[in-house]
Amino acid sequence: MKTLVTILFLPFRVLAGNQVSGILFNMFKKYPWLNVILSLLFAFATIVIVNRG
Amino acid sequence: MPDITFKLIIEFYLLFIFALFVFRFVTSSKRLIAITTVFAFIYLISVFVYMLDLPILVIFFDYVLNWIPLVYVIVIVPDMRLAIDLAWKKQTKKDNFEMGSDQTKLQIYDAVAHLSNQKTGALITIEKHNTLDQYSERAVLLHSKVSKEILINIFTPLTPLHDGAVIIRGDEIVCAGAYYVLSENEKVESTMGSRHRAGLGISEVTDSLTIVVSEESGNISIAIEGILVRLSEKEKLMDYLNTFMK
Repeated sequence: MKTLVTILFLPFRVLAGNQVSGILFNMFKKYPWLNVILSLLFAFATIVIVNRG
Repeated sequence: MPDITFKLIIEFYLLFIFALFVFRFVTSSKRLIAITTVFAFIYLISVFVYMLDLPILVIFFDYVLNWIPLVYVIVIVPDMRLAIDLAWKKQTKKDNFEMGSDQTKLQIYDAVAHLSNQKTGALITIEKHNTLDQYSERAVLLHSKVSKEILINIFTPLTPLHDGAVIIRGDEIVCAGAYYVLSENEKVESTMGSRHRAGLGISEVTDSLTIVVSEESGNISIAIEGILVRLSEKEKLMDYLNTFMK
């Protein structure tokens, strides 16, 4: 039962864990311009999706 | 592809600024990244649910997706408060600030040494660039000259002001009985008292120096820039004061 619960919650545990957030945090700290690129992509995607709809 | 108009450029620009603000905030701490990835994962699941048109889960996600933004905001409230405080820290930086004289340093040192010997808890904050007015406004204003006797008297147990912090600006005790937001730093010892956490809390959001005297051990600690240092010898306090109050 315990193993089943562990497997069921595994994706959430991995995502909320220290490793994934640590990698992402270090990545954004090292390359702060990633925020700018993501923001540009977000703005572009939003406009394209809204206009297509 | 839509025609590029003036309106579209404005929309693109504002969306970009908004997204940049959000991304910079979200990627500013590991905790926020972890919370956001979990919530993003739930959204990703919902995309699959809608794509596969799973009837029961569609109804379920119709409800869940309405509430998720609210839950997310509630979870990240402490981080939002910290981000606003840090932005405030930059905004409230004064170009001109006054630092205490050698006499003031000596009075503070003597008072802290006495309080430490007597094992009397104390919390003394010395202001620098960032104004501490928002804390002093809610405390008891004194506007008195810094003196050893007043400081000792303020922190004497069972007196009305002994539990809060004293704020010093230049050669003046601005107020006593000030209360700070406690630090939520997970790295500090769990046994650390609320006085130390308060000292650390104010050092995280301002550039002030806070002296904390432990009630249990009489140990003197210094909180500055989000770091708490326990002083092995009382004499080191004078070095810190000399460096900080230049």
